Amino acid sequence: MRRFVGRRLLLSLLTLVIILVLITMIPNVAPGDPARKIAGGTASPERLAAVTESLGLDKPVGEQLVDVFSSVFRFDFGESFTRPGTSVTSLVLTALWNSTKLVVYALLLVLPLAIAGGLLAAYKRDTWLDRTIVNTGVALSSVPEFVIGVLFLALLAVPFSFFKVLANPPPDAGILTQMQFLLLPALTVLTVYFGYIARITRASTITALDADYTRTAFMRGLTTGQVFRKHVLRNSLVPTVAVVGTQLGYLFGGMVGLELIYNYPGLGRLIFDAVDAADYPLLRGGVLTVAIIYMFATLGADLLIAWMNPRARLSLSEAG
Amino acid sequence: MTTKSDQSPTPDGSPEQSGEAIRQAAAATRRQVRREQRALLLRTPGFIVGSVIVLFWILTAVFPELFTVWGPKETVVDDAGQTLLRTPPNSTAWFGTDRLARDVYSRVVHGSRPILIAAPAATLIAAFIGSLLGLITGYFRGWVDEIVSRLLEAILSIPSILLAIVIVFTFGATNPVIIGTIGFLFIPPIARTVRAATLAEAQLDYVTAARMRGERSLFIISREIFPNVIGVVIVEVTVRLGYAIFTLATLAFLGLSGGNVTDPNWGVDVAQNYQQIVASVWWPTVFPALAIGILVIGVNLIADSIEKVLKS
Repeated sequence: MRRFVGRRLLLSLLTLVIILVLITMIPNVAPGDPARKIAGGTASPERLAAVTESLGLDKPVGEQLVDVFSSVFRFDFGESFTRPGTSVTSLVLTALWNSTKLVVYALLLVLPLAIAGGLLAAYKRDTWLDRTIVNTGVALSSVPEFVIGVLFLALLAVPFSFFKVLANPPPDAGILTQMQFLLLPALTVLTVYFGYIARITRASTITALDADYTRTAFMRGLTTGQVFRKHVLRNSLVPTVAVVGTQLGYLFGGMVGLELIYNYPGLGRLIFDAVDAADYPLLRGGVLTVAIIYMFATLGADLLIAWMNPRARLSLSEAG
Repeated sequence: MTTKSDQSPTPDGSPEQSGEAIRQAAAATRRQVRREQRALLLRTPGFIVGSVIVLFWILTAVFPELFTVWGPKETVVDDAGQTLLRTPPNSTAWFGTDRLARDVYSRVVHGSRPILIAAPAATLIAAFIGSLLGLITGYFRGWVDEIVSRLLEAILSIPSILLAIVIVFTFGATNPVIIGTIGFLFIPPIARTVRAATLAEAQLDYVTAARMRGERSLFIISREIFPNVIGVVIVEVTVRLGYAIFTLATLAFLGLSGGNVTDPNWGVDVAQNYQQIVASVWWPTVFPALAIGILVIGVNLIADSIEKVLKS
C-alpha cells in the first residue's frame, strides 16, 4: 500500500509540473504581443514595459518557469491586472469558497439520488423502470449545463418566485437563504450528473449481483437488504467513487456557462473573466487552482478505491 | 456503411501465401460479423431515433431555405406591414421574433450549419491523430509511451472547456482556431481509449505470430491490430462528436463563435437573449437551447446504440 501511495503521489506531481509548463508557455506563444493587448494600443512605452515585466515576458522562458513554480509553492500569484492592489490569491480563494458551496450542495443532492437510481435500475434490470432511468439520465447528461440552466430559468424561475434568478445571496444571508438562492444551479448540476453517476452505479451493481459470491450469499439465506449491504455495495460503489473523483475538477472549474447564467462568482466565472480581460496572473492562479483540485480529487479517489478494493492496488500500479 | 478495412487485402504475390489465406479468412469472418452488427443496429430504437434527429439537422444545415420563409437576419413584418418586435410564437413567426424582430424559427434552422461543420471537422482531426498516437504508444510501449501518456494525462486534468477558452482567446476566435483547439483537446481521450484497446490486442497470439513471421511493425499495426480496434475507434469518435457539439455550443454561448454576432448560431443566440427570460420573453432563448439539446441527445443515442451493438 505504501509503495502504491508513493507512486501515485509522484504521478500527480508530474502532472502538475506539465500543467505549469503549459500555462507558462501560453503568453509566450500567443500571437502578437500580449503586453500590448493588455496595456492597450495607445499605452506609453513605460506602461508597456511595466506590463511586460509583470507578465515575466522580459525574462527568458526558463526563468519564467522558475518564477511560476515558486509562486505555486508559496500560493502567491501576484497582483491582478484588472483589479490593481488586489492579490490573485484572495480573489481565487473567494471564488473557490463559492464554488465549494455549490459543489457540496449539488453533490449532497445528486449522490444519494443517483446511487439509489443506479441500484434500483440494476435490481430491476431490463424492465421499463431500468430503461427509463438509464435513457433519461443519459440524454440529460449529454446536454450542456447552460442549456439546462436557461430551461430552468424559463420553466421554474419565472413562474415561481421561490426559485431565484440570480444565485448570489445578499451578503448577510443565513444558510437556508443561501441554499434557496443556490437551488437552481444545484438542480442544474443534479440534472446533468444524475444519469452519469446512476449509469456507472448500475453497471457495477449488475457485475456485483452476477458474481458468484452474491449468489452464494443469497443461497445462504440472507435477505436482499443484507446481501446489498454486505456484498454488493462495497464492490459496486468503487467505480462511482472514481467517477465522482474525476468529475470534481470539472464541477469546480468547468461550470462556466452555469455560473454566467446564474451570475454566480465561482472559479469557472473567475477564469472566464480573467481570460476576457487578458488578466494573466489571475488566469494562471485560477487554472492552477482547478488543476490542483483535480489532482487531489483523483488522488483521493484512487486511494479510497485502493483502500476499498485491494485488487485495484495491483492493477493501478501496473497500469502506470 | 462499408469501410475500407472491410475489403480483404489484395494478394500482392507475396511469398506468405498461407499467411495471406488466413488473413482472407479472418477478413471474411469480420465482414460477416460486421453485417450482422449493422443489421442489429438498424433495429435498435435508440439508433433509429438518433439518426432521424441527426439527419433532420443535417438537412436543415444543407438546405435551410427549404424550411424557412424569413431569412435569419430579416426583419419580420406582419400582413399590415407592422414590424413584429419580441412577439410570442404566432402563425407568421412560428417560434416568435427576437428583440431585433428576427424570426427565431429561421435562426434555429439556419443555426445548425456552423455547428455541424465545425463539430465533425474537429472530431475528425482528433480521431486521426488520437488513433495514431494510441496505436503507436499501445504497440511499442517503452519511454515514448511513458512521455506521451503523461502529457495526455496532464491535458485531461484540466476541464477541456477551460483550456478551450484559454487557447481560443489567446489565438483569436476564428473558425480554424476553434476547430483546431477542440481537435487538439479531444486527442487525449481518443488516444487513451485506442491505446488501451491496442495494448490488449498486442498481447494476443495472432500479433505474436505476425511478429514471428517477421512482419514489419507498420504492417502489424495497420493490417493486424487496427481492424480489430476499429470498433473502439468508431464508438469513441461518435461519443466525441457529441462532446464536440457540447463544447462548441458552450464556447459560442461564452462569445467565442468564430462568426459575427448577427450570424445565426444557437449558442450565441442563447447568450444574446437569456437575460430577457425574466421579462417572460422566453422564446428567443428556449428554442435555440432546445435545438442544442436535441442535437446532442441525437448524437449520443447513436453513440450509445453503436457501443451496445459492438459489445453484444
